[in-house]
Amino acid sequence: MTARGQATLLGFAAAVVVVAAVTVTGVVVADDALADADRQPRATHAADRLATHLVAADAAHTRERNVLRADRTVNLTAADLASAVPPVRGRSLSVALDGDTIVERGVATDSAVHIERRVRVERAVDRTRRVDLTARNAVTLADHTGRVVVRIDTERTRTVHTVRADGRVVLHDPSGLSGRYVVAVPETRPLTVGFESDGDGPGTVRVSWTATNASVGELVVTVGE
Amino acid sequence: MSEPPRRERPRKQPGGQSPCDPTDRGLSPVVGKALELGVGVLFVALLTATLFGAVAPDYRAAVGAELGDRTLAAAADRIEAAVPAAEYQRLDRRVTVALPATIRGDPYRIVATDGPPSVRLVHPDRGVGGRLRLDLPGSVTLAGSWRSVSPSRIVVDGTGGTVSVRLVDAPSADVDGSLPGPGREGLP
Repeated sequence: MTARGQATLLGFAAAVVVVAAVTVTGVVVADDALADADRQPRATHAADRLATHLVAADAAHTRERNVLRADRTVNLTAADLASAVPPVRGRSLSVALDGDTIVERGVATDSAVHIERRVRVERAVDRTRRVDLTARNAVTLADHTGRVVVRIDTERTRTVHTVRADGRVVLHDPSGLSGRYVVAVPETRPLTVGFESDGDGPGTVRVSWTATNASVGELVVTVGE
Repeated sequence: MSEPPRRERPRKQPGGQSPCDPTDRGLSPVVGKALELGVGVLFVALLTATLFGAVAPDYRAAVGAELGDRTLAAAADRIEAAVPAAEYQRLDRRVTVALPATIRGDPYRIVATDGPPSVRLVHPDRGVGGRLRLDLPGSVTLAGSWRSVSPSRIVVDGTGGTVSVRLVDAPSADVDGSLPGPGREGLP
């Protein structure tokens, strides 16, 4: 009699325990799901805008879309970025190029949003080539940007009267060229700069130009709260 | 005393002290079941009170805040995307935006303010809302507001370099393109 009564009680206790366990498990799972669903939409928006600005064609530190000038990029400040991209104002942010942090403001938390962009980083390299006019009368520039500086230094017995770039005449003086000239040249690559001279004395021409040393880099933008 | 004839012994006082008394044994399953039922009802009530009193409101608040943030970010994205990057002589653009009709069971508004351009979500509940700055070109003016219950549009107008962006609520007939009333014969 009493054993039968206790069997019912045991069943009831087991049922209560099962219901309680299921409820607790459900709440824990729901908690996890809720934590996973927090995607920081505002920080994501700010990070997306910041990454878009960093690779935009019309930004001051880019040459064209996804092409960064290294010297200007490393000089960026958080104030520059905040004035150009209003959504990041008041948020912690950091920008890293190939692992080197360029800009950092505030402390990034674990919930910060990361966005990565592959960019081409261009560094300006100054190159100079000396041409001995008795041996050669042309120089080939494999890669150049902007203008070319030509310094012509000859003895009296040799007269340089024409400088051509890619076949076009860029400097001409029948009575002789001498000294330093800054020449706008065509955007042809490679570019051949030729010198036409009369006479047989010694003479040298130094050609200076800016070459581009480019590498592919990883730009990582982190924006927190 | 009108006792049935088959009973010969007088009944004891109710609530008798002798548990072995064979006459009130019939009460024990009733009391047992009633206790069991009471404990069961108490347990379920406790569980329900916990879930609906503490857990569910927290979750509603968290989900409402998250949905509000997402709605605001999505609206900001759409507004930013509606403004073209290039310069145009004339610009006339309308973009329809789908917003959730309610957040946490209540309708809300999205209000645009200019200088600096930003959007605000106005909701009767405290935990839902916020403000988001927009990344728009400098020559753009922003105005207007959306109510969540009606279809929403972005209207971009530009003449001679200045672009104005307005958030406009459209009546549903306007969006559907269907005219109210008769005179719709001839439609396929």
